[in-house]
Amino acid sequence: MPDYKTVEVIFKGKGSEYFKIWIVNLFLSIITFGIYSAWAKVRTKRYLYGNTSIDGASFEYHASPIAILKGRLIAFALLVIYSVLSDLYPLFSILLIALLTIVIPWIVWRSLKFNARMTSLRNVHFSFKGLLKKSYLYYLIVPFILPLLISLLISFAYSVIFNGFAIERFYFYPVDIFSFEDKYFNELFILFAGSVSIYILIIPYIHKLKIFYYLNNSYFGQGKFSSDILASKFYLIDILTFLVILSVLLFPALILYGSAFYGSAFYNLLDRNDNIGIVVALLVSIIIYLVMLTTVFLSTAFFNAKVRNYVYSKTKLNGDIFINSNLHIWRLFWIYLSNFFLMIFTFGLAYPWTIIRKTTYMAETVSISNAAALSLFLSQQEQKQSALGEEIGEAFDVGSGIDF
Amino acid sequence: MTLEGNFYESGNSYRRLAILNLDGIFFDLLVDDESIQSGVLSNLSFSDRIANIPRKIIFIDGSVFETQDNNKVDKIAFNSDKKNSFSMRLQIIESKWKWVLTSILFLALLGYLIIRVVLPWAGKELALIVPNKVNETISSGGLRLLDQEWFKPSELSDDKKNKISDSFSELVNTLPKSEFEYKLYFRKMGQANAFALPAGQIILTDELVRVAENPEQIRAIILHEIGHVHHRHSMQQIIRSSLISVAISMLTSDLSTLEDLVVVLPVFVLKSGFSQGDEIQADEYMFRHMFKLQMDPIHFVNILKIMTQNNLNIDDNILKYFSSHPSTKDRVKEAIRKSDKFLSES
Repeated sequence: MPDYKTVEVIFKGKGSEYFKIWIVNLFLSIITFGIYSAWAKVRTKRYLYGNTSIDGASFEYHASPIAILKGRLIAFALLVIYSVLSDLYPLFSILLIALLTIVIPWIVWRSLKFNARMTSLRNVHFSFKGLLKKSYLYYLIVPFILPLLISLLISFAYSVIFNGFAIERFYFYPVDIFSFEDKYFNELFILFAGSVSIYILIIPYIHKLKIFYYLNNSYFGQGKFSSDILASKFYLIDILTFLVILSVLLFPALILYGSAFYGSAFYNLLDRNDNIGIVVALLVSIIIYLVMLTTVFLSTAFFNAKVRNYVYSKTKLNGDIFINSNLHIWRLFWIYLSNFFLMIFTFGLAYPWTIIRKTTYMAETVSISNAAALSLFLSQQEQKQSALGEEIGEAFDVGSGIDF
Repeated sequence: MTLEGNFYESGNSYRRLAILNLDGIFFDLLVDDESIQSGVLSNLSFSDRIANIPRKIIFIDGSVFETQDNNKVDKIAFNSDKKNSFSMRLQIIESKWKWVLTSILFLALLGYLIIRVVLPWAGKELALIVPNKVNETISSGGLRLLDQEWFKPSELSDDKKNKISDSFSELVNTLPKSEFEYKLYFRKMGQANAFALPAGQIILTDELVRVAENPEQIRAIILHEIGHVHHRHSMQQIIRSSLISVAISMLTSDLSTLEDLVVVLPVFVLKSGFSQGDEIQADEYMFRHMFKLQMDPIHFVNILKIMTQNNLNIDDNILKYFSSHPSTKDRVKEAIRKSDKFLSES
């Protein structure tokens, strides 16, 4: 048994420090009409990475602002073209959305490669070596094309059996049902409802596929990350999250139900046209708002904590460095909720503090066992990366779906 | 000068404690008291300083010396590495509260200017450019929606409707020619109220017609609503709120979805702030035309009092800040002032 030294990830960022960086970034970005935002992004990332350390060695973000700026300018040009075209030719925008859907896997793939390559620890770079065709499989084919095809087949079978559609005319089937004739109403319904329900049913599975794709193709130097996560666990987490949402919503429902029985005093209060009635109405809406917030934040905290703890516990580097995360649901919930109120009461000025609070907690709950082995890695040579995919992804708000 | 830190060979995660000696021109790197690398200072490059994150000194072969001693590195880097001076200045700006305060003030001022000057101006200018066709499309769609959701068909007698309609066309004929075609509609809704749609449709509720004590009161309300149409308030509102949404989504694009919830609140407050100005402007339009038509503004006071059931304090409760109408009290005060002026002139 080697010397298994377990170390915690440490984050040393301070709210006051980050606030200064953030506000100056904002100021300079505005007076330079956004050009400085590329520098701002690099400085922000370098601040957050540089303050995160494992066993006394900090992370480093290497992207050059110029590369980010180039990517950003191209992405911005595309965004302008997109919005102008879709304003002028509304029908054209459907085509553009289809086009965007087709390039999303490429955008995600490029951005994963870029971000990994731009990160280093102990002078050794990370890298992502996933194949582009796998990205197409997980970001386009499985989530969208497969459900569509399956429900098309079901809808076709239905039409053949109950509507007398000729099997030989299979190739014309899609065209025929989209003629919007009344007799194809059921077929269209099966197609749409089928695709949507299949999609919803496989959401946890897709989530697992994406994280699996990301982790099992990530490298630190020559060392490979591996993660043996199971889809069943993702299904369990999703179902439990759903139950959490239900139980939070159940509380006020019970109270309302109960008060309906205890005479109509409460409802009389609501009906009054004076200040008391207004105060009661305001209180009720505040309570509804708080319940809504609790639902959102508690379910998010539950989901994020469960997923992260599970995925980290199943992930190792090079077969012998283990990662562990023990996020606590209620503490995470408290951070989300208090951050939200911090943002409201400071008109957004507390943003840097909220980020620092969240990052600190996220970092300090992660530990690395056998950290001593981290000294045995060597950087792999790789081509230079452009920031194009990353920046297009940001401009069009394309998420990789693997934030955890 | 001597720096203490860690040394990593090029692309190698193996860490060794090291000492870097610098004398202004040359450097010498010692690991375990043994010189590993040495050369001229100009061969080194320094990572930009950001707050107090560990600093990296990169050697020509790609090996790295990492140290916490930012201040010492600053002194060396400033003298030897010219490209570093830009980022040095940034670091100085970021570390001085004076600059930070300037940024906050600038951003606050900019925000204020955008909300108070740029948005209203853009709303006004753009509303003028928008073709009337758009107004018509919005109006017909809007009326259909209102009919579905809120309105019921009017139950007023044809006689009463015709009387008001005649008075309406008479009133409209006295107004200067405009591109809007004013039309009157009657609907039942359960509340004394009047509405204006952007293409010139004026809607009176049965309840309003019933509580009005004389035709002048109804005409005052109609003039107020025409004022909204004339100043294109609906279109301005649409443009402003879409501009606000665009601006906010641009500014907060780096926030996560959770924090987007925060964004809803200011939008709500801002929007109601705008329409208070609109109400006052519509009142002014009404007063102007009442003077021309020799109508006493006191009629507006009276109908307003009836509509708020003689309770002028109704807007003075806590909801005032969320209300889109300015306090009824203020508007009544202004109308009474106008009425006094009217009486003294005639």
